[in-house]
Amino acid sequence: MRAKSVLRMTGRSEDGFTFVEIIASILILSIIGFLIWQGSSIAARMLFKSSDRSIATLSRLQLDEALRRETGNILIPFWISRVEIETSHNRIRIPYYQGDPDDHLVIEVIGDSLTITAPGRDEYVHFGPFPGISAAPARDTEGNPIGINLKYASSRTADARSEILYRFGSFPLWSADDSG
Amino acid sequence: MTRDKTAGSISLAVLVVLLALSIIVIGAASIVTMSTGQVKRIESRDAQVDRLRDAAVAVTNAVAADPTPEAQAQVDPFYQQLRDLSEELKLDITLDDLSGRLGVNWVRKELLDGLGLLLEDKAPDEFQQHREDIGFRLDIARSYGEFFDEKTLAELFTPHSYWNLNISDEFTLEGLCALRTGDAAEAEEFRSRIQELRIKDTLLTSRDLAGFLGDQHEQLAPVLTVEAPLNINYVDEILLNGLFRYFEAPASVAERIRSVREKSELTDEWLHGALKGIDYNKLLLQYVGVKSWFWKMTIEDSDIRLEWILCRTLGRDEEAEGMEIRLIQESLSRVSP
Repeated sequence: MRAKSVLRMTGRSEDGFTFVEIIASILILSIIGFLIWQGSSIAARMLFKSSDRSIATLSRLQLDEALRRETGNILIPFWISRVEIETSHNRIRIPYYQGDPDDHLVIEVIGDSLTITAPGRDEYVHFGPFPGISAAPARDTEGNPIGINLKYASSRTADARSEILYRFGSFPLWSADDSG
Repeated sequence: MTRDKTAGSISLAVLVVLLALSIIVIGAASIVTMSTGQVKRIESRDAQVDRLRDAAVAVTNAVAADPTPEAQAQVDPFYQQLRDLSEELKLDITLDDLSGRLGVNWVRKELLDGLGLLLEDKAPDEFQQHREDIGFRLDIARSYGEFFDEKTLAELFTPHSYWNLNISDEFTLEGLCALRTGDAAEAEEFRSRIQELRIKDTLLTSRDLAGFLGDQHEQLAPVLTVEAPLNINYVDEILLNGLFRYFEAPASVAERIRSVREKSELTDEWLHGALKGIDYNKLLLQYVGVKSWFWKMTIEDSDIRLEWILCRTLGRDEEAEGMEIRLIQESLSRVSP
């Protein structure tokens, strides 16, 4: 009641804003909004990029672990001097899984993905996508198979390629002059 | 009555945005944490495996540096080195000498019959046929489990053994030749030459071997020998008694071997002296010698087990070049809690 009487007495009213006040407020709010938007958008981009990299790293690590384990299960007996590894259409079929000549480990590249099928398992394991992935039998200087060579584009630069050798779990006595 | 319906909606919108952002941040953070966690786990596992491998290399070097390469026994200094290493690195290290066991991939059916190791309902011929059907195998528990009881198979047999041309089943020698040369006709001819040797009771010596093998020498020499596959210093008691019974050697000699080998290393000279005068000693000496050829090393820490199969390279001038031990198989597994 007292405030109302004061207003009436001075003849001034604070109901509403002037045009300049509104423009100034909009301008300030716009600047603040713009900064917040930019900040959060940069933060979100960084976050997404970082989580994308993490997912890619995670998936490479999973592939690495699975390939290490499964190629380690290839046990070519010491008495073997030659091994037929079938390679056709990006598919590698390796015998001597757990030392059994009839059990094969199958590694297949389909597009940018890689699948691993081990004997005794109903389903294959699928990994990817890894741009430019390729797999081939790795051989020693005498041409004897010693593992699997995997190549794929590095995650940081498209031109760089990573190459990893996954060794079999055994080292046969291939021939008399084999230095091992 | 005229209450503003939008009152508080800004706070609600801010809350929703904050909630969404929080979910995104938590999601991304957990992916990053998971990924770094996995990287750390793999790095730590790699370091653990490297530590086990370093220990395995140290043990292998100790075996290769055996001051008496002409004979291996329980009293050899590398066992003490192994125990010291085990204590120093806080690792559980074991070294099994596989040369105390019969090679399931070459043993003759007659010997198996004589030793009485087959299950009662299994005939030696059945065993031989089965081996021919399936070929040589590493996983003997799965491949030969129907012929022996589990303990016998695990303790008296091994797939890790070289073929001795003088005593191996001739069909397995044919199979080995076919496998390594890739020529079945040549392998059949090889078997008939071996049969001729056996008809004439001829035992080849290491000097004769290269000449007998001829062109096949390069392919067969890494796995075929005329050296005794069993090391008398490690042969299991059941097997030792069985072999002596089969070759009509006195049980008292087997008993003497058992008591002497507990305290000292049996040498080639000692063994020849002990078997002197026994009718079939030449044949028995084709089975038992004093050298070891294969070992299984197991190294464990709290959660990883590393297993190495090592072999001693054949056909090497050990007096001049020393013993060469090679890694032929490696496997890693988790230690069950």
